[in-house]
Amino acid sequence: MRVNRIEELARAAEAYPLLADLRPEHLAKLVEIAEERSFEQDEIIFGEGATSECLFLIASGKIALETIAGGKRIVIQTLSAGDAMGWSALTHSAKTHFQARALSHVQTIAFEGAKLAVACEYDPVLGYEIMKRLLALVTERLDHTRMQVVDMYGKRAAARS
Amino acid sequence: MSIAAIPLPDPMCPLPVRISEVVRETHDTYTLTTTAANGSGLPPFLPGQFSMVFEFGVGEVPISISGDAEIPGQLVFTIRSVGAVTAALVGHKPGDYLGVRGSFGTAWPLEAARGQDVLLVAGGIGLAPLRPVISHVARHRSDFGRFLLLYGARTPKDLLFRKQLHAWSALPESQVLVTVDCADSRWRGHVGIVTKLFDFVNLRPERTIAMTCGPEIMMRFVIRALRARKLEAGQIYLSMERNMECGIGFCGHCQMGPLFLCKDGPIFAYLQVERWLEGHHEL
Amino acid sequence: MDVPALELLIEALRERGYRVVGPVLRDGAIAYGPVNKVGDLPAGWTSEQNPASYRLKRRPDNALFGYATGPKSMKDFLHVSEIRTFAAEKTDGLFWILPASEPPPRYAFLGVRGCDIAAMLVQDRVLIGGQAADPFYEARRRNCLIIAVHCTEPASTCFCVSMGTGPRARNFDLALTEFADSDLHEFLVEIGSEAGAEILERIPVTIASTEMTSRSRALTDRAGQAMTRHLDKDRAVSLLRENFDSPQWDRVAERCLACGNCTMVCPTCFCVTFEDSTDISGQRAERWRKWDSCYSLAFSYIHGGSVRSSTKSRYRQWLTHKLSSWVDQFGSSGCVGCGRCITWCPVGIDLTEEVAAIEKANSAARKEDS
Repeated sequence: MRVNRIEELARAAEAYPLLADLRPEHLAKLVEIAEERSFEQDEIIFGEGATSECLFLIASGKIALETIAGGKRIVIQTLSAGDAMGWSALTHSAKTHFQARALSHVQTIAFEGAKLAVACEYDPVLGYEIMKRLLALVTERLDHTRMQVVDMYGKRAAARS
Repeated sequence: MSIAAIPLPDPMCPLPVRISEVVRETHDTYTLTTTAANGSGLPPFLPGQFSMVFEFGVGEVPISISGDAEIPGQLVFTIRSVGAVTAALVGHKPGDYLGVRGSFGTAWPLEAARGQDVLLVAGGIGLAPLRPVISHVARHRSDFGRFLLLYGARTPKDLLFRKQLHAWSALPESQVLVTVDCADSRWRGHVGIVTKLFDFVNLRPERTIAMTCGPEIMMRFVIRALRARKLEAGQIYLSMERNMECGIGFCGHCQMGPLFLCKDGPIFAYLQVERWLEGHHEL
Repeated sequence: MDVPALELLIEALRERGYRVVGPVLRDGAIAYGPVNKVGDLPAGWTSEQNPASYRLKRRPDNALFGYATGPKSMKDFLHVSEIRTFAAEKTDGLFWILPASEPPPRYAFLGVRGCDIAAMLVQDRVLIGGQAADPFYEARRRNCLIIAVHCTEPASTCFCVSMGTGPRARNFDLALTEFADSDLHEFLVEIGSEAGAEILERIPVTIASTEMTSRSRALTDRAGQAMTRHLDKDRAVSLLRENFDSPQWDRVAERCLACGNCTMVCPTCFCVTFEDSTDISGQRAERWRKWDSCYSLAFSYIHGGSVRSSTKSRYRQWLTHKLSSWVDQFGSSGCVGCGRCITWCPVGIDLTEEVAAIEKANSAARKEDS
């Protein structure tokens, strides 16, 4: 189902750091290429190493990013409403790094990477706005990952904080 | 020169206590309930205080009291095995004896929290010093606004007080959220750092008291997240940890700037420690 | 009072059950130790002290107290370096604390200086001035008697004038000024307390002339003026509080060996650690308390590692505590200007120079900012 009203997305935009405070004309361009996509519980949204096709904004539900480590499938991070996922779709490598699995029924707003890239190329101001927000998002994700890597609850890390 | 001094019972001698119950919380963490041996009474305690727990001939360690302060005659300790003394302590069976000195140190601000929303952010073993607060809020539920507990642990196997977590989430106007740093795919809960849980709660910053206990690095992130959500520095309290050997300000080990963590803390208003927590490491 | 009267004074103290502790020659230094007679005192000896250097030297006269303080202080007797805090025995799993065996000794300190007494008062605030009292210190401290000697021979490392603790002693039971430069070897005695007056009752003394009193003043005034080292104790409080990031900490850390000598000789350093042990049957346990030093890596250890892992952070902790946060904690500086940490530092680190260097770096940084 297509998102066909600017107001609707504009209202929803505040819930997504990637869209918050965008100019109406930029939002309008994004509405052009936005799609609603839903996934059932346990559905694989994309596999690890797959071609990254879409950037998703999660509207509801919970998603696990997973990988195989030590022969076991482990969860790296869970994502939920407001989070963005699949930003490798905007990079040229365009391969996903983790598997994304729906932990519940999930609703998303999806942007096809190729279309989003064209929109950004065509309108560098929009492109820059998107990239700034994407960078903030990646930075936050990186900070969180660093904290997890520190293993702060582990015996060794406890005193070294 | 003679000097006036009030005679006090020797604060350096442990009081024997008998272990009445041992609960295995995780692979390395146990909760020991102790009662007075010897017919002598046990000291009362306030939520947030700690005791020096003595293993005969091995040594003494500071352990936060994790029991309900309104149950008299017992001291409950949740102990993670991280060194020689704690390893010996968690190896005990009911009927064994330990020593304790004190309830020492400062308490969580339960009076200031009256009528306020109570937000607890715990990491790892840091949930244990907060458990007496939860017991208190649960007993006197109507004295407080919303009750929110955000709890982060390393893996699902490291979660403390699992059954109680469910019970606490069932309290009126309460929300208990749990996240882990790492999980296998059987875990259906959140994976990520504890501050990510702030996304799922609706804070009322004007009427919230936040208390946090966990690794120092976690608490620094938590405080940043709380400030970003418009909590004033004065609404934030935390529990600090340093080496403690005496518990009463004589051994000097627990100093951080001008503070003795054992007697000025372990519970501090964030404003008291802001300077020492931010920016300067190795203090 | 003359030398034979001093002998009687020592006897009187011993008769009253005091263990007299005073200056004695020991291990190439003038240290505090048991004194049973005047002959135990270091007659005709003095010390020459410089950063990282202590030498005994002969004096031209026979002065008994003609030296500056050595490595020991009253801390060695009141806040002892090793003490058993308790012993316990186990029967059927339950343990019992055994009663302490001996009553603590009563000390009479003879010949201690203004800085020593000031240091004791600093330790009083730390160990018995708060909510809890250290029972071991308290028992020794409560019963001790102080017979000071005003310092007329400061070492080059001394700066008690800066710290307001000397060279004239205060808060004594008795205080002596020694006049050994003339044929007549005698002492001016000042009474500081009833206990002091009582001890003096049976000692043959004559009323001092005003001339003698002013000679005593002149000697300590001259001693004060002779001091070359200075430290602004009030300025140090804010200076160190505001200069955790001074580049000087890196520079001093290049020299500091983190040996902890300064903390051992410091008359106010109070940190201790505890050691537990059992006998071979495991049925009897003891805990011993020992002096500890914030220079050791283990000092700040919590499961997993040490909070202060660099020498820089440990030197900073010591100096900042001593001169700045001590004031926040106990209402006075932790330094009395005795200079022991300068003399006994194996590489001659001088805290007065360090504070001056931090001040210099601080003003340089401020100039750059403006």
